[in-house]
Amino acid sequence: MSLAVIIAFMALALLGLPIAFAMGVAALGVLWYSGVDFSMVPLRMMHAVNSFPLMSIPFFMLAGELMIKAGIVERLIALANTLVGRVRGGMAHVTMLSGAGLATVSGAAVSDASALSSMLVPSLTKIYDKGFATAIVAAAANLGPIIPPSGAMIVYAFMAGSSVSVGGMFMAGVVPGLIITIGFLAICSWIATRRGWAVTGEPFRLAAVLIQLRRSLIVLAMPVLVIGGIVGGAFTATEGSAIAVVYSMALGFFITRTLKLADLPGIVVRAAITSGMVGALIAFASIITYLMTVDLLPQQLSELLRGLTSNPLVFLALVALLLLVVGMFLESNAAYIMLVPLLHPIALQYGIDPLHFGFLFVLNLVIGMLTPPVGVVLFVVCGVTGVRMRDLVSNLWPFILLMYSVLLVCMLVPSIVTALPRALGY
Amino acid sequence: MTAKTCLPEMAEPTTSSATAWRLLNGLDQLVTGVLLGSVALMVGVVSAQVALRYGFNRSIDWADEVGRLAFVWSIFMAIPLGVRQGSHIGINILVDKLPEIWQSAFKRAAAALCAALMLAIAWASLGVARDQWDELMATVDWSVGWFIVPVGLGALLSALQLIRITIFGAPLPAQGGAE
Repeated sequence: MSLAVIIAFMALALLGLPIAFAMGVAALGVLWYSGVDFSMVPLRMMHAVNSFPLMSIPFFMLAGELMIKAGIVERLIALANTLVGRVRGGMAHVTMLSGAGLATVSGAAVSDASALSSMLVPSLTKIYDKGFATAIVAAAANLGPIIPPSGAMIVYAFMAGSSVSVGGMFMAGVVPGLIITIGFLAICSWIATRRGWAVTGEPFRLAAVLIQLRRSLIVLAMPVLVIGGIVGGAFTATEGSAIAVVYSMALGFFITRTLKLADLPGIVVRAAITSGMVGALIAFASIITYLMTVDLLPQQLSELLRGLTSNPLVFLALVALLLLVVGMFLESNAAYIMLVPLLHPIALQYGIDPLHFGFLFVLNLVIGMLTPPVGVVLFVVCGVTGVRMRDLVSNLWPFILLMYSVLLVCMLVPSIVTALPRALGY
Repeated sequence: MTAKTCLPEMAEPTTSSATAWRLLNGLDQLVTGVLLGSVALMVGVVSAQVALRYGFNRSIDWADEVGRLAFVWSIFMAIPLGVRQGSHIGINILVDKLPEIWQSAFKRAAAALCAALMLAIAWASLGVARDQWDELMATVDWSVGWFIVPVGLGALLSALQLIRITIFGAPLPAQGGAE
């Protein structure tokens, strides 16, 4: 049954059916052929999304959208400008730091890409060519799901079950996220020096930094409150995300005053529809997961892999290779939902730290969002800026290469990922 | 802003099916209202739970169950709106290489297939909701069937949207994702 479902799903997805519906049609087709009663379908779909931890996905999305509408991107850009504006490739550095700042309040690369593209590309294209300008925006936006909070990590933790907590996954992303951010800044400097770009921006002044820091404090306090509260055990990830929504609304209504009551329905519906898209994937995938469990597919796959190698590192390399290919062709949420229940238990059997495996899995698919042909961040940046895909991708490869290098280093040195969450008791 | 302006307008057909089209647009506004209510309830209940715990040393025992119920409603009500906007992500690499007339035929056939799926789910949900209607939730005196109702309703509304796409063609895909 499992093989028939997988083949039918892939055929239907390649024929252009939305991935969630392709899963549903494939699963129901096989159920119908096998004469299984359909009544289990709505129950499984409902139970798949009837989860308190999963509620944090729409909440973090909503908080991110509200924060952007509240005008935080402008404050973050101004702060980054006073810090790193006066260096070679200064605006590129400002973009990277703004992306990292935005990543601490929003957990989604797509909304970050949209916000950064519309706010920064007009200024960037005055200094750099359009290909490089959009490439740095795409790379900066991709920090969104790596630096906590992260929608991708919430989905991973949900699909992986009790061995992985959302707070632990969030903390696992902190050190590699910082390494990638510093690496991106280094790439910007290297490219700026190689291309001989002049130094731009205002000289560094401590007074200006302090003024902008004061303006941005209210923004930077949110991740401290929310992520700190989750990690410190004051509240769950879902409660923290709901607080983030209330905080963002208060910020937009009373501090920056750029958020209007009339903006709320549009923002809520947009966030809810994106959550609905993820929810549909989870609901339909639950039927396929059921069929795979009936067929004992996870056990069969585990035996096959353990027959091939008993070395955890080889297993990690095989998974990375699989996800490299999958990330190029499959939307990342669909990949989490279909592959985490299969591969996560096998990783545990190999004795791999669940947070280590989880982070590598997420990072692999996050890089996939920057690689053609199905790189969702590329589509967003091209859509907003009108740049040609090949111009964007030809400028993006150093950033992709760096992310793969960090992935490799994290694979070989697990403590980069696990030291912080373990120190915090995860 | 009313709920109506939350969704992009779709071109209305100039045929006798205009009444059915308007009815479907009206349903969209109703669904949007339910969606807004569900999200507001989720945010309200979860944040009130934290405020009560730390501010008044109390807790709402039904907060978890009612919050989850609102979440299930929000997910399944958002699915048909996502279909309407073309937000559900698919792989179009092969289909986009076909001549335009074939592309349109493929997309309509895909929508028809998805509509059949959603109608089957709606029908199955009706049976399950009926079977479970007498069971009550753990913390409130509401039927557990209210958890299944949005699955069926969302499937039925998605089927109607997909039938609209089968007849009138697909909307332009919207940008979005949870990554």
